[in-house]
Amino acid sequence: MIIKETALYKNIMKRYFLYTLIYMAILFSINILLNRMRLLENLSQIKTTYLSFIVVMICFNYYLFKLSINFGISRQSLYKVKLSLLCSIAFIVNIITFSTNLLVYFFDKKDLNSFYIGLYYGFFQNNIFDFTFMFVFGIIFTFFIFIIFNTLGTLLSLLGVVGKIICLVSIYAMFTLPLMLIGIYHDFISTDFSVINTIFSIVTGIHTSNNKCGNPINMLVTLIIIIIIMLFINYKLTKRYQIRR
Amino acid sequence: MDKLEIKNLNRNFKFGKQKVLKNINVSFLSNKIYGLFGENGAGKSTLMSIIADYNFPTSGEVLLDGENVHDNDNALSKIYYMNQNNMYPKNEKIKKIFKLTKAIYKDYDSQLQEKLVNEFKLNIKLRFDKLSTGYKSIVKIIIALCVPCKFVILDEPTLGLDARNRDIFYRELIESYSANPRTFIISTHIIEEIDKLVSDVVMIDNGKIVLNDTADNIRSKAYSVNGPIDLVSDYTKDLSVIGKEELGQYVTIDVMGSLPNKEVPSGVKITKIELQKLIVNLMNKDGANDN
Repeated sequence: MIIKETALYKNIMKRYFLYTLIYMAILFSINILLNRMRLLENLSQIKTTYLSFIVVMICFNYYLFKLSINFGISRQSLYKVKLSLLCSIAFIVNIITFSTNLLVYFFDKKDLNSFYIGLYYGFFQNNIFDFTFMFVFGIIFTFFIFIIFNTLGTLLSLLGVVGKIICLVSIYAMFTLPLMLIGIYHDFISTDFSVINTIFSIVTGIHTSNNKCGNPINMLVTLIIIIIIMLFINYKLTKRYQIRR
Repeated sequence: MDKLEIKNLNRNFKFGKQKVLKNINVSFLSNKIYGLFGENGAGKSTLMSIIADYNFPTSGEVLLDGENVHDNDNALSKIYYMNQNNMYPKNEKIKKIFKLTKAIYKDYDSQLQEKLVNEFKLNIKLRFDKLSTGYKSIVKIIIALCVPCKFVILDEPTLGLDARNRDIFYRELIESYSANPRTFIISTHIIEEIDKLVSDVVMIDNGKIVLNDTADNIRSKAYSVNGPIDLVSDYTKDLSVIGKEELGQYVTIDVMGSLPNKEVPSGVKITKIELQKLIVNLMNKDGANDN
């Protein structure tokens, strides 16, 4: 059974790499030739769009399901293949992102575009520790983005057109309503944000009251908890996967 | 001996309003060629997709050697389902699809694949979505014949195929089956072309199994009685009539079951019914009964 899963894994990895390579080559050439962008600036920009491109590919993973089911691979094994793919891609993407950040950090800080460096860098007060943690954090964060979008893609592929619209509107409402409620609470009930600030600080490790750099461990724990929940939901959705007729 | 058993299988759509399969109980034994027949929308494709775990039953189970096939890698590795949907990446070249299939199945028959590619005159450098409907079917047929699975399910394998390619398919199916016996379950509407091929017949009508027997048994029990109306009507009055065609003073009555132990009246002719006609008669009869 390992043979089937490995063959499928290799095929999908090759496919992803071919597409991303073509995409990056085109973007890189356009930026250099047409926009006359400097190399480091170019690298910094490509890093972000490259991640978005991979996310889109990971989101549309229905053909992975079709291939696996066509070759007699069970949904349980498909889930394993999917996780292996997400882990490997998260690792590779993070190596690219991390290397780019290192280059930019050491050569031209003004092109730096890293949310970790902006919010958490310096917490350990040791460059080696900070960069090592940044690498680990990068893998977990990339995997977190992948699993969120893959789960969303898996959920949407179970639904019809109306179901997809309802689902997307519900997700939008889920994110917007709490923010609106916080706004209403702030404007009409109380201006005291201390409770929300405390929760935000625990969840993200970012201190809003002072300019100290945040604690990345808090954020890492939050990401891991959400990843575990998402893995469970993703597993349940993968088990429900069926061929559309 | 491998055995695929379907037990008390039901499948409902639209929140239970539409019952597509109703209490299906049927077994497919090893090394036989089954013809799965029925009208459009009878539930053939749904049944096949549930066997291959593409879709789930509302209730009931599919067992392979006593093991439930659902989410079972061991059982699913013995089943290959060639279906009407496109299961391959659209822009993938045919040779890459073959390469992937070969990597997935350890004992994939590459030699047979080469032979079939030549016979069907398939250009493997083309991309899958650039192929005509017929050639898409050919790619799927080649894979279905070359995979080392004990149960191969073919849903409308000749869809879009011209007469020449259909002929190659039937010939190669027989050759492949003779060299490496395994179970084929073939669903098609062109019954007359495979009636010599199938050893067993399963017929679904309106979600129910209405016929499940060996092809020889069925043929030996079905007759056409032709002659003057009064003589034929008298001769067949106690028999199970499945079809009737009148032409002036003459009538052809199709019957199923044993013939009476009485002398055939002069002017009345009895012949065996072709499988295609028998199936059509049964469809009409059941349709008439339902109405």
